[in-house]
Amino acid sequence: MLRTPHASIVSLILTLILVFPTPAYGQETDADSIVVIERGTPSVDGWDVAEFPFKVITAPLYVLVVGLEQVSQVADELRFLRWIGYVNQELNRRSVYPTVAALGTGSGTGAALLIGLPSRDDAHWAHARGGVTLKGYWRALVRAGYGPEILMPGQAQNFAANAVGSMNHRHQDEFSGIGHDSREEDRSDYELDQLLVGAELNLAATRSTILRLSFDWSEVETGPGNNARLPDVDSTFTPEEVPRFGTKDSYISVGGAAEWFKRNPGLLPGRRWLHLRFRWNESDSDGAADFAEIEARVGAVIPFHYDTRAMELEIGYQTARPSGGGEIPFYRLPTLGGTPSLPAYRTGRFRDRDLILGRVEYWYRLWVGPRETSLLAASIFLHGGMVAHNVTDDFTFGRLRPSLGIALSTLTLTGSGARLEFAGGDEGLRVNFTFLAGY
Amino acid sequence: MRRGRSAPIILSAAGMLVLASCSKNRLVVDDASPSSGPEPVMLTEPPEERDPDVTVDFFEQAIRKPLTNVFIPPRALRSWLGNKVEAYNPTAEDDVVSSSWFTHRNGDRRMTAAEVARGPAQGFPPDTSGPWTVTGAKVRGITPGYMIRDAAGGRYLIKFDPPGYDELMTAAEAISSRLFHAAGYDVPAVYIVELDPAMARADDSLSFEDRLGRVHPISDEDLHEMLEGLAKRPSGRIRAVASQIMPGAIGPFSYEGTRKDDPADTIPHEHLRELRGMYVMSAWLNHLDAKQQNSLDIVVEEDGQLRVVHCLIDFGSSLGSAGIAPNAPRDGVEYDFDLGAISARLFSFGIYTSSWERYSHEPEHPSIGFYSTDLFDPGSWRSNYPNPAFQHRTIRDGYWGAKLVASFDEEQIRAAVSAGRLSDPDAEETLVQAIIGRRDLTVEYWFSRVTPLEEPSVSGSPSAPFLSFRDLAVAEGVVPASGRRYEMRFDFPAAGIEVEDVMAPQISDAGAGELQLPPVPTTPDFWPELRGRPVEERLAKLELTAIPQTGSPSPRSVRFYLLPVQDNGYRIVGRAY
Repeated sequence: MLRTPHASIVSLILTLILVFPTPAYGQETDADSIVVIERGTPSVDGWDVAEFPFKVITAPLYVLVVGLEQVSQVADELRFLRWIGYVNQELNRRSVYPTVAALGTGSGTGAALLIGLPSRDDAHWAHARGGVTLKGYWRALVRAGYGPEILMPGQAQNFAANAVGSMNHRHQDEFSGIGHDSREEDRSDYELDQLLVGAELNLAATRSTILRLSFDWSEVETGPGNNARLPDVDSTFTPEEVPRFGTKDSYISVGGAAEWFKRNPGLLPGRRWLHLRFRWNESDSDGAADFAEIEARVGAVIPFHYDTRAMELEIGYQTARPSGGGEIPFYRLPTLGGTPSLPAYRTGRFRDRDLILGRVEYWYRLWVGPRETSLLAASIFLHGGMVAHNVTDDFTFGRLRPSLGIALSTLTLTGSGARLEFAGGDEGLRVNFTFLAGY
Repeated sequence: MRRGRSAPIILSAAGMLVLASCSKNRLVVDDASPSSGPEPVMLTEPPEERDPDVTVDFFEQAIRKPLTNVFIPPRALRSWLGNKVEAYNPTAEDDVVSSSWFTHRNGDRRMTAAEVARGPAQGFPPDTSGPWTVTGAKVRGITPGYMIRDAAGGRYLIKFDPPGYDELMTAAEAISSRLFHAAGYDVPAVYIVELDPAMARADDSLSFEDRLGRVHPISDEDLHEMLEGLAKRPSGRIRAVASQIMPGAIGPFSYEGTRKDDPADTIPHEHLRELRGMYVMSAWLNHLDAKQQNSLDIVVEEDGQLRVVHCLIDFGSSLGSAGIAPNAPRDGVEYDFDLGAISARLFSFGIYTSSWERYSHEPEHPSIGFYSTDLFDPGSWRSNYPNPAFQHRTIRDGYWGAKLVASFDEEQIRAAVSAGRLSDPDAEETLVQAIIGRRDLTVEYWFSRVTPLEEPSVSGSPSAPFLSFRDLAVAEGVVPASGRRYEMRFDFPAAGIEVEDVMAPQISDAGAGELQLPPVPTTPDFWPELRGRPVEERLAKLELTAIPQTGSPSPRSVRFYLLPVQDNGYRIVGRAY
């Protein structure tokens, strides 16, 4: 809760400048430089969209109108914006939430609609979502659950469950080849259609620990992309270089994850986390491999000097290991590139069976909002990572792909934030704008 | 009256003898500075009501102006050098005349404790014995409130304490408004009241207008439901602060520019000594929300003529209160959104940290919040966002404001605090000591920035004239009387006298001292020749600079302008710091 009206205006202006729309939740995305990161990652590949409450768009416009009214009579003609806000408010009251959304990496932004069914009580919920972006990506989903939609440590409830069914269409996703030495100039695109049904159980075992269990069935079909500026995958690579391209694969997956996540209060809050995830994917398609996915990340944000500065450290390892013969679909391989892995490279720039990543970031606080609910911080970061068929065989420090840069971030303790970063690496300088779904 | 940097003329109501100027300081040389006087121009009809938007004001003051100043090199340079224009309206005694902006009160004549505690109240406090009728809602500002009509028909704006912090905001408003009033500013009468929620009535016309302009009626039941969530006293009543509605309101005044439709309003407000000097009062009492929306112009009729009186309202964000919560340590140290501090942190890679960031504190008493001498710097205190008049302040303005603060003694401060009706004696004593502590720091800061010689007069004879004065730094205990020394420069071109010396006069603990001045020539042709000169060429200039103690800042000089007279040597006709 903000303390003063002008404090809320500050937040609003910062939202406009740095955040623009604020994601309600989500896991990743928008065009090649916009990514949404969520700290607690559900193991079911559900609604991984960046979704922005419509009022976040209309509120700045309202402020603009009020401001113009002070200096100009022409603002009368803009008062319809108030009614747009009113219509949105009335829709929200009826559990209909128009949003601006992005539907995964490279999807661009577009309109989305959420329709929430009336809850029987605080614990039960259900909704339907649908969205389409300006680039033609679309997704539809129904989801119902018990408890918080995303269970995080420290919440009042310690158990949550949900079930999801979704359809996802993407037709300009990018691929630059497999392996650490793949070339950016080989960038091509492909189409992906996914159908998924799943369920997830979440348990807050302690105040700092979350256990997640998931079960899902998915079917994915890929084909040539339709971005006229990029060649298709199949015209750039041989079939061996793009495993399972052009086929329809279905998997039954069972996963489990444990997350230990602790946040220390402070003006620049400290955090420590350990994330372990295992997922077994059983294929019922010819030629496709059964495979295990393993992910481990450990990290910490360590504040110092009266909590005005902090050092963030993280190392992570990810692998996809087949159990026998067959291929792992190229779109299921671990990837590096973009925020938060290697910001100096395109999202998903590198992919292979193994991945290793280290991050070091020095944070320093620039501004803290009233009642310490939000803050603006700058940071200097150095990331290094590599992908490999077997990282233990290929790893040397010299082969790590670097990302060195600076960033400005807005963060809130209870909501979302954003990050603007300038990063340089082997392939030049990139500017990324990233949405952060909470701190 | 003229305005602008090249127009150093300032009218006062009494007769003006000589005007002189120097590059930075406007000097008014006056033979009889008035302490009060009517403003020269009256209104023929009330000005239009102003309703400035807080959003626009915040953006203008906190963001656009600081950024603009950065990108306009001359402004940035002037700001960096601290080269500011002095206020346009000080008198020859470096004071102001009583006006629609300010009325000399405690600084002129010591008010009794009872007078301080009573504040501007003229009549009885609100009648809470019978039904009270809510006639409207105050939807603006940090703290929402209700317009009410008491059982006796009196009209008030009432506001309540934030949840969990009983007495915090209400006491702050009651105390600060009384001290501002005693200092000389016009404020509404403010009372602490305890209202019986069961006696609340909704006026027939009571309604709420949302931002779309739709009107929603409010019934008695709605009203009782709204009051239900407020904290109750053991008696079941609700504590509130009631501000008497001031009739003739035409909206707030701006802290810069003038009100175009008020012919008496001719000096840009950022150049008014009263508003610049208010910085010191605001710093003392932590009046964080000193923005234009917390001011009010009212039209009053006197002797059949209309004039605008400029008032201050809403002290809910003062002392340890931020209106809806206690203050945070940052309050008063940095603006809510301080581009300067943000830039310093950004470009120093976080090495720069402000004092509040290295400070950890939880309020000892929820009823007084965070208000103490810790972190308090009287010269760099900040309101919530920049106030144009405060930003234009100079050391002279600060010294003037500090004299207002210094005029309050412990008895008066205790009287004002008692009006806050804090139920915890420990909290009340803590608050009193904090106010006294900040007063002392304020006085020490500003009285060591100038050579604070007041009540000057020349006595003796032409052959042995003496300057008598009172050194406020000594009187207030900022420096000891013993060893107090001054560098003196005396320049009397008409008599060919130029003296530089270090003087160490005898000074009493009350600051009273005397300095011997060079004699006036007694040659026969001196006086006829002097009378033949223009008046500005007859003047002698006496410049005194207190020699600071080790480690103390070098103070500004005080310059006295002396006119030779035959009875006792000189007459003081002007003063500047």
